[in-house]
Parts: sequence; C-alpha cells; structure tokens
Amino acid sequence: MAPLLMGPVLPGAAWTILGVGILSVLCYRELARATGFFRQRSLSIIVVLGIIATTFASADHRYGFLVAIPPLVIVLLAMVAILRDEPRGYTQRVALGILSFLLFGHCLGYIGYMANDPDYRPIILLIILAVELNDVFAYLSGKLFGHRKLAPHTSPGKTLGGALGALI
Amino acid sequence: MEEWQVQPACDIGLTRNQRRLSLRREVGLESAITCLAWRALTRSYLALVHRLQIRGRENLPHHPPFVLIANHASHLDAVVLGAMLPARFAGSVFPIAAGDTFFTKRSSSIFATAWMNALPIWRKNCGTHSLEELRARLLRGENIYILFPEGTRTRDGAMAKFKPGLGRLVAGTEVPIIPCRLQGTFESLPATRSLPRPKKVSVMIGQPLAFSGVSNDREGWESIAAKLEEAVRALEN
Repeated sequence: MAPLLMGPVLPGAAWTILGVGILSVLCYRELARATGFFRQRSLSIIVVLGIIATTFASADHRYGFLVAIPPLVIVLLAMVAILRDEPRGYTQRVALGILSFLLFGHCLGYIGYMANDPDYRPIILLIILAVELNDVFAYLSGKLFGHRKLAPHTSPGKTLGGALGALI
Repeated sequence: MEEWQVQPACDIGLTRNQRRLSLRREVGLESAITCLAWRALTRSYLALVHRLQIRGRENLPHHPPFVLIANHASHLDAVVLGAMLPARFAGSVFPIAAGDTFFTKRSSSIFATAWMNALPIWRKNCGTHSLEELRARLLRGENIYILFPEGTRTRDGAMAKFKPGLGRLVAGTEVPIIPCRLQGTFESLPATRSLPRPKKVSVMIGQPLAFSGVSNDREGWESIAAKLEEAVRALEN
C-alpha cells in the first residue's frame, strides 16, 4: 500500500493533489458503505462535492477557500437533510455526513494542500512513512511485549504493549 | 417514519466479482450516476431511432416498490421499460436478467450491472433461495423490478404462458404489479438479430394489480401468473 500512496507524490504537485482527492473519495465511499450513509444520496452528493471543492482549492492554492469549504458543507448538509422531511434520525444523518467530510475531505485535503509547498515531497513522504512505521512498531512490540488487551471488544488483536510501541 | 440506523451495505465484504453476481448488490452514488447516464442515452436512442410512444403513464406508481412486467420479444424490452420510468427512480430500477445470458462473461456482467443495473436470475438453477431473496429485497421498500414472466424471448412473436415464479415474489404482499404491453420490439430486434432495425416501438402501461389476498403457495403463484398473463394480453387491443 505504501508504494501506491507514494506513487503520485513523486511525479509532481498536481498528481499529489489529484491522488489525495481520489483517495478521499475512496475512503469516504468505504465509510458510507460501512455505515449505510450511501443510501442518503443527496447528502452523499454534498460530501463528494465538498471533497472535489477541497481538491480544487488545493490545486488553486487558495487557503481562504479551503477553510471556507467545511462550514459551507456543514450548512448544506443540515439544509438538505431537512428537505427530506424525516425528523427521525436527522441528527444522526447530518452528524455522519459532517464527520465523513471533515475526516476525508478536510483533513486529508490538507495533505493535498501541502503539495503547494516547494519542498512538499519530503514532508508528505515522511507522513506516509511515519504511519507505516507506526503500524510496524505496533505489530512488533505487540508480538514481543503485548499481553494485556487494549480494547478487546473493538479490536481483539490490539494490546497495550503494541499501542506503546506505536506511540514511540 | 422509521428511525435511522447504522446499517452497512448488504454486499459489504464481497469481492467485486461476487458483488456483480449477488442479489444483495446495492447501488451507490457512482452506480446511480451511470444509471442516469444510461437512461439519458437510451431515451435519446429510443426517441430518435424507434420513435418510442408511451401510453398509460398515469398508471405508474409515484414511489417504489413495484414490479413492471411485460411480454418478452427482444433485448430491447428491458431498455424500453427502464427508459420510460422517471429519472428520480434511477438507481432503484433493477431489471431481472438471465444469468446464463448476461452474467457468464466478465464484460457482459460489468455492462449488465454498471449500466443496466441488472440482477441475475439463473433460469436453469433458479432455487427457492434466490426467489426468496428477491422477495425480501422487494419488500424492503426501495426497489423496482423489471420482469419478463415468459422466462425467455419469443421466437415467433407470439406471447408464451407466464411462469409462476413471479407469483412467488408478490403473493400475499401489497406490492403493485404493473402489466405492460410492448409492441415493435420483436420487429426491431428479434432473437435472431444482433443489431436492431429502426422500427417504431410502443408501450401500453396497464392498471396496477396487487395480490395481498392471494396465498403464498403454488396454487396462489399460478393464479397470479394467469391473471397477469390475461392483463398483458388485454393490453394488446
């Protein structure tokens, strides 16, 4: 997976921003399918449009627009969800839409925005490498020192030793 | 009004190939967009090449679930029935297609699912489980099926007897069945041709029928099939 993520970073900033945009949409798609949010088609469209707008803001190097997108998306989600005229579950639907956009649109969008820096390559590659090493250390220290489970109902394989190794 | 619940996609965990062949396949945003594009393309084609005429639009329900059935003469039939439905139903319309025709090769199954949004039914090994799964999916409330109860395309233009499998989907339920009569599709694209002729095609949409009082057993299914066959034949005039 890491080589695949590093692939768009090396050719250039535009490829990095595009790669981050595509990754954001794919990640959002997985969350939408895992939670059933994809069935809320109009809200899904708003989240995807927000991700596309974030990608354009990064590509155009417009920081003001980048930070303006989240409140716009939140307001649109809240408004469009009202139009469905289904008050039951309104808060859950809007909250899930907001969480999806903030995680995969706005947060990931910052990685794309970083590509506007002339020295973006080492920064982004360092982020990818740090995440990979975090996983590797978590696995190794968990195997060597991990006995006490961290959250057995949520993630049965994770141990306290592994979590500390990841922190280091 | 139902409480909103976190309910993962029914086809989660399946590989791409398994998803295409599964009756649990659900339609996401990208599939809804391709369905809309397909609808626009086919409507333009049918209007220009086949001068499609639709009568009885007022008989179409305003929201799903419902089942559209018609006489079957051509591969154009599902295209015509899908194209005549309003755009707001795009992504909710599922033609039930012969698995042995459309889902054996990878390329045809990709086309059938990505563009036509078809669900497979295996004519030779159509088990109870498949029909029950289709029924459960229909009763969940958001789907529209396009079905051809004859089971295969006519080879001589005459309509054959309806098979009772359709009855199994709707017996004892409030789901309306809309009988339709297609004319001109046999002349345009019969089973012996691979490219269509530019003949006029028309659809007559009949009054919806429901079978909530019919028993969900063999006798009930056969009576439903017989009534629907009669309804479709009556639309010929």
